Amino acid sequence: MQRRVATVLLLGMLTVVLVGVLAIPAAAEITRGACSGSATFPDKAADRVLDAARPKKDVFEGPLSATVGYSGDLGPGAEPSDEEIPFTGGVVIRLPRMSWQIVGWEGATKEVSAGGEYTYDLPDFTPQGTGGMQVTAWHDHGGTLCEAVVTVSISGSPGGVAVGAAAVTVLAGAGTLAAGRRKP
Amino acid sequence: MKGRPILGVISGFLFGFLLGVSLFLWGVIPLHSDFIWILPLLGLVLGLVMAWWAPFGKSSEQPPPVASPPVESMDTKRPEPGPTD
Repeated sequence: MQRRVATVLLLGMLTVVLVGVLAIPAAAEITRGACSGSATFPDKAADRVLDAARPKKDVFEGPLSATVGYSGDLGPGAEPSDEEIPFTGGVVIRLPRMSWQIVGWEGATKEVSAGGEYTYDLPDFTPQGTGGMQVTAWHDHGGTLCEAVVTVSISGSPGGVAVGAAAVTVLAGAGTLAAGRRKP
Repeated sequence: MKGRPILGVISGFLFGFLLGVSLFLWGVIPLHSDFIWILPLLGLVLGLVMAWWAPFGKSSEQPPPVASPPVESMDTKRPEPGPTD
C-alpha cells in the first residue's frame, strides 16, 4: 500500500508538470513600438520566413547552420534624418527568471531601416528538437524603442544528449525512491 | 527520520533538475518555463518526504518484549529466621 502511494506521489508530480505545460498562455509578438522585421531562411523546404509579428506560441524551427536574409524598419512615420541618430539594440534569450543577451549592437545612422545577410553555424552538439526558446530582439533608435518576441527551436530530433539526460533522470528518480528505504 | 534524508535531498534535487532539463530537451516545455527551477525544489521536497516516510524495506522497530514470569534464583539466600524465645 505504501509503495503504491509513493508511486502515485511521483506520478502526481509528473501530472503537475503536464498540466502546467498545457496551461502555457499564448501571446504575441511585437511587444513595443510599431516596427517590423523578418528573417528569411532560403534553404528551408517550408516555413522559410520568420516574421517579427509571428505569435509567440507558434514555434519557428531553424536549422543548425544557415545564411539568413534579414530586414527591419522602424515602422510607418519614421523617415531618414539629415543627421545621424544613435542606436543600440540586442538579442536576448529568455531563461527561467532571467534573460541572457547573446548579441548586441550600437552605433549611429541616418536610416530608419536595415537589411542584409547573416551567416551562423551552431556546433553539432547543440540540442535539437527541444522545446521553444523565447528570443527577444530590441532596438532603441534615439529613444524610439522597438521590441519583438519570437519563439524558436533548432530543427531535428532529440539526440544522444536527450537520451542520456532521460537515463540519468531515471537513475536520480531511483535514488529518490531509495531515500525511502528504512535504515537497518 | 526513518529513511535516508541526505540521499533524498541530493537525489531529489538532481531528479527534479534533470526532469526539467529532459522535458526541455524532448520538446515538452520551453526553455523559459518556470518548471526548470520549480522541479528541483519539488524534487528536493519529495526526497525529504520519502526519507521521512520511508515506505520501503522492513521496519526496524522491534516488537515489545513479551513479559515473562520472574525466575527465582537458586542461590538466593533467604533471610534466616531470628532467634526465638
